[in-house]
Amino acid sequence: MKPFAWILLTFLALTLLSPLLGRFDSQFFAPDVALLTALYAGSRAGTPTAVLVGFTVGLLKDGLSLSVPVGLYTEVGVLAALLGRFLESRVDLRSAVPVMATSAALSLVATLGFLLLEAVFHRAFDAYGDVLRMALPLALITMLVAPPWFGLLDRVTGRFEHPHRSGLLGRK
Amino acid sequence: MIRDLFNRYRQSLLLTLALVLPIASMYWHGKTRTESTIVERTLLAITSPFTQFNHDAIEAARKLAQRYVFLSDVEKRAEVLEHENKVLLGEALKSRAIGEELQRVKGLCEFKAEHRDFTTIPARVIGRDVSQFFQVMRIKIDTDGLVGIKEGMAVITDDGVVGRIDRVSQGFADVMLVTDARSQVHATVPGKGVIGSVKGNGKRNEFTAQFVHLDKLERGAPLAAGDAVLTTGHDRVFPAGLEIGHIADAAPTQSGPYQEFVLVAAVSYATLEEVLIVTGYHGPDVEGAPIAPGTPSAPPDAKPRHSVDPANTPDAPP
Repeated sequence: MKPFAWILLTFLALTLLSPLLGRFDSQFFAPDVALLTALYAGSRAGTPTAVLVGFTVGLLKDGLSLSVPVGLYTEVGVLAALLGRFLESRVDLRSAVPVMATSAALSLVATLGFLLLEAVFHRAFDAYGDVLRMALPLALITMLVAPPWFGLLDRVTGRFEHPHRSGLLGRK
Repeated sequence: MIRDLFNRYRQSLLLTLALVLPIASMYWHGKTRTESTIVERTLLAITSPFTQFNHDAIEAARKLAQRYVFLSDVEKRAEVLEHENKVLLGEALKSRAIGEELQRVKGLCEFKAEHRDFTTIPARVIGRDVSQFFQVMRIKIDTDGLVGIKEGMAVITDDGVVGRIDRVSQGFADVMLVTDARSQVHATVPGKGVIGSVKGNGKRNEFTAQFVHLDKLERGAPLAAGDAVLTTGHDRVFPAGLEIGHIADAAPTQSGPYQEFVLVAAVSYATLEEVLIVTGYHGPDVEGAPIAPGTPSAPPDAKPRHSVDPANTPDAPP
């Protein structure tokens, strides 16, 4: 049930963020919650679950975007989940600062991955400069949102797990 | 055996699929196409309702906050609306004034079309002399550009008689109203067998009429309050059949052979805006004969016999 709750929460956030930020003409600065969820799933669940979560949230983001070839965000989501699995035993992804640093770095890597995949599969794409200009602000906003987002997912996880396990938003 | 093999490599298989499927999808969707694929349509069908719902919810919340919480643009909006209201009010008043003017002009045009036995020129009222009792004593009309305007010419409206031109100056003319003490108009009451004259007494919208019955043996019904008093046309100033006023009080004052009635003017001088100046009048067929009831004017095909003679006006009471 946990992965479904993460996916649902991420989907709701994705559908909410775009119109919400569009109100302030800053929809391009939406934090990459799909990427954060994939990273979270990688750090909290097993490989199959993490990959499935990364795949699904990436696919949903593809569905919401549709300006890129379907599969691009899916691929990025799967890779982020795998990276989360890789970092799980190496970085403390239960503390705010490592989470922020990892998220910022992952966002930058994801942008580069995005550009690479666009270059390979989307010949009509020509906004490389715009994407590169947006890379750093996007990484910063994603970094700032990462701790509360992880905390929120921790709380959701806490509903299904041990009640005394601690998370980024404190004891549940 | 296949099941064991699947179980053993399940994770690797899943990982491979999760990495390869998106690449295949990207390859497929990255090609230039005109139609959306089934994958895109399915994704759109899944995401669209949520996106729409959230968009509507955010929009509703924003409106709610803006209208009832922040009240951010209420004052500015109120100022704009107030300004708009003033502009619209001004335009509405202007439209109403134009509408009323059109109505009056239409009335004058219809009147002119119905009365082809005399020729008229329209003129605009540009001033009113008012007494200390707020009584309109005389009016001024704009005659700038009008040719042939002479003193003594009748001034009328579609409602009835106004008066006659008293003095013509540069670009305007003074009109002596029928309520003026110097005014006298030959008059009759249709169907009552009476003839006489209407004299002004200088009172507000009020004057008197002196009537004599033409034949006492064939006397018609007595004059009653509300009876319309019309011009006969015998004075050669006012065309026949125009309403001067109506009898205000049916109780007459006997003055020799005449009965004197108080009349109320047919025209409201205070609200008068446009008038017609009678420049050419054919007059009744039989000079001096009382006008027949129900025949207010000469036939439309009648030829002009003479123009208005301002000098030929009754000066003395009958």
